[in-house]
Amino acid sequence: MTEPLGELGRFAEPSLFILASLGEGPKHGYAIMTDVEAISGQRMGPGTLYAALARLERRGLIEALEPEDRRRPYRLTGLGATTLRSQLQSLSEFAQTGLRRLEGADR
Amino acid sequence: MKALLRLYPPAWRARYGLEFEDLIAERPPTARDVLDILVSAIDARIAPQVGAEPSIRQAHRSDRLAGAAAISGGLMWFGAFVLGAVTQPGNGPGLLGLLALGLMLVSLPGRYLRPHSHAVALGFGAVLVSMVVIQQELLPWGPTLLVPVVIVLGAIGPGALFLAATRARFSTRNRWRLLLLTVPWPVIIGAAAGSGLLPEAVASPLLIIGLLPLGLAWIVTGVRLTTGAIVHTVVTSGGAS
Repeated sequence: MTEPLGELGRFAEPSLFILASLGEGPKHGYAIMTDVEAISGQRMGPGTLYAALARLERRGLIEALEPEDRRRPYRLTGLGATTLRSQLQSLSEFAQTGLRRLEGADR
Repeated sequence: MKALLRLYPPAWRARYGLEFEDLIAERPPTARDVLDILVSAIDARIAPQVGAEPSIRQAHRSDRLAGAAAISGGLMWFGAFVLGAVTQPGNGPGLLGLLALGLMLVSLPGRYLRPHSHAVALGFGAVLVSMVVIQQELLPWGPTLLVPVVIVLGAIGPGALFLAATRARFSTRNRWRLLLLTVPWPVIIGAAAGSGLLPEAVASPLLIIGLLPLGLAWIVTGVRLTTGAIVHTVVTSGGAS
């Protein structure tokens, strides 16, 4: 069962970015932040990053690994991977529908 | 930047503090980041994600509401006396003071009030009606109500503060200190004024000054209710993982 990210309110989008970033493997906070900026083109504040991380961790979508010095890497859980896949598929279907409609309107 | 981190609840700091500090050290925050941190710290206090089970969070939230009521009541208490002294010298706190008392009552633990809710409602209702009668001079015999009202408030006031302090998890010693620092002054000044030892021109401002510690005590209790609840959450949940 996948948890909808919509219930996270204003943290839904940052949470999706974080899940997508962790999709390629474990990362710590700073690496997530820079990666999210690279893939989304949006700057993510440190407060927002940790507010979203706390929510994702609480819902079992990510888990913390053993700390490396003061840094603690995070990785997707099984539920997190399923949720990410489901969210991306929905977005993909939405994007394809929108594009098809645009193409139809252009003709 | 450590000051910014202190804005977060203790449980949050215990869980994320070190790595958050590391992140801040790695990329010094811009003004926009500082704002982001401020907003997120408030969010972490309003909707804690660390260390609290849902049922405990519910109690936590009600304590914070009670704390906010106590702080508002205490501030309004100040406002009532200061405004009353400026606008209507000699007329006391007026309706704003009544509202302050009402807000303070919200801070009381429900488990003490619930079994006696009718008696409490009746007692405070009678006091409120009497004070409106006195304030608005609705009845010619209104001023004679002043004595029983003062007696009832004098008996209930310290008890209410003691109960709120209990809810705020003050130690027994500190609860008594709170009472001793706030309650005797209006009584001593009132007695001195009543016996004619103090001229009225001196007694009225002194009485106002003597009543202000009570407002301060409610503010302190409100702050403690808010922060004490967070400590309780951490302890109850065995600390953040």
